[in-house]
Amino acid sequence: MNFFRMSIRHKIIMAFLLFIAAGTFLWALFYYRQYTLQKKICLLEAKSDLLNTILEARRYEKNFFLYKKEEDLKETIIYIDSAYDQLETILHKYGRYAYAKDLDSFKKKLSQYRTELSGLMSLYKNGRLNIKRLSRIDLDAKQALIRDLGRNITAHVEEMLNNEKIITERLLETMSNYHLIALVGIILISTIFVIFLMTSVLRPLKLIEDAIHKIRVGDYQHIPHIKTGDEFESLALSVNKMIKELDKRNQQLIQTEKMASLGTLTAGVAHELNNPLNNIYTSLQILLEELEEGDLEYQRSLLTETERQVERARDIIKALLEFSRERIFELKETNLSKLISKSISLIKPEIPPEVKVTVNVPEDLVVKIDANKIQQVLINLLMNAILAMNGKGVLSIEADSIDENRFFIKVSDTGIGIPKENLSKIFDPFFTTWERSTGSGLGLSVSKDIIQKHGGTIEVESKTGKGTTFTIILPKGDWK
Amino acid sequence: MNGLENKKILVVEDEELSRVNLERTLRKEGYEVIGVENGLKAIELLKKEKFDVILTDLKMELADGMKVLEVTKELQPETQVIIITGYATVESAVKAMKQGAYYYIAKPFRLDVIREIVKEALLRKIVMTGSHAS
Repeated sequence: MNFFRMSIRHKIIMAFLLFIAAGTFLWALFYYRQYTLQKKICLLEAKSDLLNTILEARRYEKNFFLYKKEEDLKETIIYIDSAYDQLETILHKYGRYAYAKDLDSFKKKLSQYRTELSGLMSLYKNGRLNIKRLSRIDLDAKQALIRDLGRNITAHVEEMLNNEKIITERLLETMSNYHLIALVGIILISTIFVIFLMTSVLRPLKLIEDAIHKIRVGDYQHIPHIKTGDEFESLALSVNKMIKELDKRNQQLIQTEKMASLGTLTAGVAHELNNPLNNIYTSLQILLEELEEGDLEYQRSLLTETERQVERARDIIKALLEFSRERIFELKETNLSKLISKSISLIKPEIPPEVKVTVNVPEDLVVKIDANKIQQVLINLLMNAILAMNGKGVLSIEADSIDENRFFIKVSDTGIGIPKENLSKIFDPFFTTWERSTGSGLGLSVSKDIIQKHGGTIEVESKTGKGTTFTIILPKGDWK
Repeated sequence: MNGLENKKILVVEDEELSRVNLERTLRKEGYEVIGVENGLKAIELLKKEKFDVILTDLKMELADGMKVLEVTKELQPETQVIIITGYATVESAVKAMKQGAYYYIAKPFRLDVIREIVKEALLRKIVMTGSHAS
């Protein structure tokens, strides 16, 4: 099973199991080491007892050779027997842990030592040493042999004890090394676990959080594909599906709102068409009536004028059709001045005679925007401004660069204004105060969506009875 | 001749071609015709000159047809006002007639209808004032 394709749940369970396994292993290792150490200390004590017994035996041996007393010899043999028993006990009890080098030769030496002592013992009769049976020289040779053996035994035991000490010290040393290795290991495993949490849990969570935050400000961008093979991958897929759906709904909402304002515009535009139509109609009637009179110059100029009126009618219909068409969001280089003129021409029929319209936009300002969507916003703001002025006032549209990267559009009216308590609500969907409005109540909410989708902001300033100003700030283009 | 020659007619229309066409048509009928392109100019003119019939567009910048009608009724009550509009609705027609307009014509119109209505309006003015005053 590939670890990287497992679910988060499985990964976390795996990580914990690994932790528990490593912990158990370390605990067992330390327990075993401590047990060994304990055994070693007991062994050291036992071996040191053995050494003492042998030293005791040797003391009696020395006394014996000095005073030739049978009791001393007896004591020596008792101690040697005792030492033999102790050795047996050590081997039996700590066999696995005991350092035992040349044990057989030691045992041999010990039994030889005892045999020699027993040999001397047999020379005693009624508490006295029967010298006759042994020449003086022989006794000296015996004495030298026994002393040599005794020294040998002592040295052997001392060496055993020393080695045992060295081994114990080494054991203590490795114990502290093991502690260090275990500490490094635990830090390493913890770090890996933290890194795993960061990359497998926190990073995808952050990506999803970022995407949701973007949606909130109107940017319906997909979460970058997460290929973890776990819950996050399926969560990201679900969130992406949701974003797609939300984007679609949002597009539909924008289009619905556009259709609502188009309803208002269409009536005005249809009426507006009657003007060029009337120009054409009356011109044609005159031409027909005066056909016979043959004033060719006049007839040509009238026909030319008629042609221009047909073009005018075509442009009006084109503007309306262009506005109504449902388009996907697309940024294109747009002349802002022309776009504003087109928007004004569409709402022209709605402008009452006593509303003055002033436009202050540099003719060469070209920006990268979705012209159709920005036009929707402009028409919205213009219609609101006209409604707010109740047939009289000044409607001004201003636009210009702010700096290299940004520009602004300002739509101001001298209308009734928006009460303070409503200012925060005007961008909410379905909030409207127009009693005679044919609008959907979605105008400003959709406008805000469109501006945010461009990465811009829309703000409102208003004074009751004085008027309202909407300020849009947008990036000039080439943003992502 | 029907005795309506030299009657003074004011044409108020911001659509230049329509205005010029109306002027030409009415001049051919023998009337004295003056054309202006907005309501304000018409009102200025009304203060100085008397007209027999006024043909005015309804929707214009500065001052609209209703304003022209209102001023005409105030300054020259006997003058007949014919409203022409591309924005014809029942409401605006009723409002115009209530304010004393003689007729309400929707764009696009036949020139014959204009000739007919202007003639009727002139005759009505004669009936109303009882003389050929101009």
